[in-house]
Amino acid sequence: MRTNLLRTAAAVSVAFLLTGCAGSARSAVRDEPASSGARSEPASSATSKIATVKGSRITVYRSKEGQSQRTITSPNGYGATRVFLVERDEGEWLQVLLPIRPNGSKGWIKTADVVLAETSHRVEIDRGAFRFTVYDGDRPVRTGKVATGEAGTPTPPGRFFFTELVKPADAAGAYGAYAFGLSGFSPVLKSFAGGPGQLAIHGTNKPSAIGTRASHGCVRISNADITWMAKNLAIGTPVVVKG
Amino acid sequence: MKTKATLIGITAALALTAGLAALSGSALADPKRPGPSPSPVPADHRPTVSPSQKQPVVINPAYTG
Repeated sequence: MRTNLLRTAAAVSVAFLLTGCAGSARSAVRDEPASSGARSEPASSATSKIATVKGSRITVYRSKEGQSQRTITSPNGYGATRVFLVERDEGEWLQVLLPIRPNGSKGWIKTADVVLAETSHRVEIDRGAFRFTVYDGDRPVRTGKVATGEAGTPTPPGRFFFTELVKPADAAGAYGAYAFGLSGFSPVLKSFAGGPGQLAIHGTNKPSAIGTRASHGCVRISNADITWMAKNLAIGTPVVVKG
Repeated sequence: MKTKATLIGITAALALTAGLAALSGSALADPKRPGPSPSPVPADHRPTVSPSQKQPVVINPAYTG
């Protein structure tokens, strides 16, 4: 009887040993450090990522393999810190929309070279309806009428972002109370008023033209609307022109 | 018979002791793993700045109007 008890004790001990080892092995797997934090995630429609350049210049790469494409300085020509709209976040690398011709150009930058922020706002311009709508996530928070480019100098469709906020020195001038520079350019005008033909959303001193094709490519809105945008929207906010 | 039972008992005790020692030993012998290699902070844990931090530039712009 005693012998049987001792045999049972021995068997339990061996089983305990085996169980302990197996448990230990499982722990080792669970304790493995997480795989790289790098991940691929396209920008969602709910929020957009804005990359602000840390230094005085940033290298833009054609691909993540490190083939240099160009260097872009910061601040930009208007003295605003350079920002990019992030199209794709892959951890150490970001694919960004570039404020260069041709419209829609993209490049890769190193995440370490920028500070990231997020915005839930975006602006949609419906050229056919002469209307803008500002969304906060999926919720429209402000809408109003716009003037777009004339037939010979159209406002091009596409996805852009605000590059700087300007308060015109002449508040009674053609740009109205404020102007948000866009990352896009006129498809027709290579230069305009001493500038490179850059598009913008701005106020106006001719509110009667809103709701018509009246500009050289810029989007004009009322001074009340552009003042609201200046107060509520960030540089880097995405702007989609369609219709 | 008694001797055999004693031997089995001693064996069981030794096995139990050895098992416990192995378990604690493996914990002690387990070298401290090096920390994970530097990897980017997950996007949703990155510090963000308020997007409202902006000051308008006062200038006569040269947009396409």
